[in-house]
Amino acid sequence: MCMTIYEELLDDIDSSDIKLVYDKSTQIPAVSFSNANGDYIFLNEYSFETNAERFVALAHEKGHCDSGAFYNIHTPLITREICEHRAWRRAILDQLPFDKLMEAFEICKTEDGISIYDLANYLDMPPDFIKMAIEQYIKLGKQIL
Amino acid sequence: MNNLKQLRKQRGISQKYLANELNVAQNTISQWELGTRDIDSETLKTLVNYFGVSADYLLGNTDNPAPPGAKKSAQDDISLDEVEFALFGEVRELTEDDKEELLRMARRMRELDELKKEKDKDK
Repeated sequence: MCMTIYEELLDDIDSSDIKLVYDKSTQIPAVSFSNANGDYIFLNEYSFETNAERFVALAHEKGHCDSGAFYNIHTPLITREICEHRAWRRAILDQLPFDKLMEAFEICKTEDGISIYDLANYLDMPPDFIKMAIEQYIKLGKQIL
Repeated sequence: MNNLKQLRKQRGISQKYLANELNVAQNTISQWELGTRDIDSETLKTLVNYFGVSADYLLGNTDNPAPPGAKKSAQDDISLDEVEFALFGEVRELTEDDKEELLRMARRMRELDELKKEKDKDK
């Protein structure tokens, strides 16, 4: 049986140095930490309705770990924004590389054009994540269609 | 009566979760909590490190949870100032609830680090 992208991501994290802690007692849906002993992601799976949403949250937190984009309680909001941007950028490059996005475009293309919802359905990712990826690749100078 | 159930509840973890952490059956946790089964010395050592309390406290022999010789409990010596994190969602000022949650998770992270160190030492 084929693994979902969420399951694949869980596997990927499991085989990495990142420690994933399921914490259903918290109001915070997902948070990552870095300390001297490595990186942690705390995930409250119940905060999300779908595996596509869980996937995006986890991919984003993994993006923080992989890019070292962390902050502390004294970090100004503008710097935190930059860290968040770096984490999203890394998550998109890792989880929805340009070639994979283009392949989805080809498959979902119809005479009427391409629907973001068809792409979301095909890729099993939330539409907002795909929109973000398209925007990022345009900024990187990639030719979309 | 031992304090295992109380410690587990304080940390907000289920019997199933703890059983997975210790690699034992959930039923074993239940029996330890009810006192119908003794906690073997090796597991006691692991539990003591896991919860950061003394063996006497865990076994219900004292009301003082501090491990012998401990200058500070694991809960006291963590400050949010030293924690590096990244919150999912819109960037916003942290609420007091956020800070409490982050501190709780930082303590949990430290407990897991200590448990791993203990396991690595035993290998």
